[in-house]
Amino acid sequence: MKYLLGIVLLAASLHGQPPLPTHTVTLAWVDIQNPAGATSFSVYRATGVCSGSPSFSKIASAIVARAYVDSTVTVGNYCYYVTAMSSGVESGASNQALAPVPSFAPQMLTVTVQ
Amino acid sequence: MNWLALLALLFQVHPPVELTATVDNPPMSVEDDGSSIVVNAGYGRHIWFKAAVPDRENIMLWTCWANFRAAPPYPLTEIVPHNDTAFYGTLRPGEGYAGGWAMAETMALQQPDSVPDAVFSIRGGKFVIVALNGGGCHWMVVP
Repeated sequence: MKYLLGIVLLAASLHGQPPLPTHTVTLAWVDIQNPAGATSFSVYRATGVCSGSPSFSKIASAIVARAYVDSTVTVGNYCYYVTAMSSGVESGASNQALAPVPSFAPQMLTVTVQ
Repeated sequence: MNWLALLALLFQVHPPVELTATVDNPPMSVEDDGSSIVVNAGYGRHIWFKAAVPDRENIMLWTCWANFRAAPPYPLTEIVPHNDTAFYGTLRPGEGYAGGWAMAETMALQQPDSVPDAVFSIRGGKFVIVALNGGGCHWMVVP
């Protein structure tokens, strides 16, 4: 019984915790040359800066909007590019965009004067 | 050149351009005071939206982040930009990538980077607003 009570109390204490903040990277792009409605997009991401030859992985596909929010990032640098897909054919890469994700700033700073 | 690149060249699938990445964007907010609806898109953002106007009593808006630019200005009087927000628009009948919607009109609202917030009010009628959140466009119904 006491174990059950402990689990309940633990669950209650966890439930009361504010959610940890997370970083997001919002990507937006322009596509005015391909037929609207028949084009989807894929997002590729590499960890690190864009210079050199970063290793990209596809993180999302079949996106119909001209924007994407990557909420799977932590502190560090990320490099992105997107491609368009139409009739099963993928375009070349867009320009690359760098997203330097910083640490969260401290909060609730107080000053006490004596 | 690999075969995928060759196919892309043959079928003329153009790569997207002007890709931008913004870290920790503030979320879009929508406030309704009963007489107008204010949409705050956050700092320096560009809003791209579609409006289906089957009649003047029932206006539907579809919004997303983008850098779409269009001209010349389109005087849809129900949409009132605030804070020197630049307002551009054009009609593109039949264009639609908001699946299932019978889009009649397309407009664009461009927010200069020098203005803190892209804020505009929408007056009159019943609105259905879709906001970008977490990688997709989600419905937000404003009665």
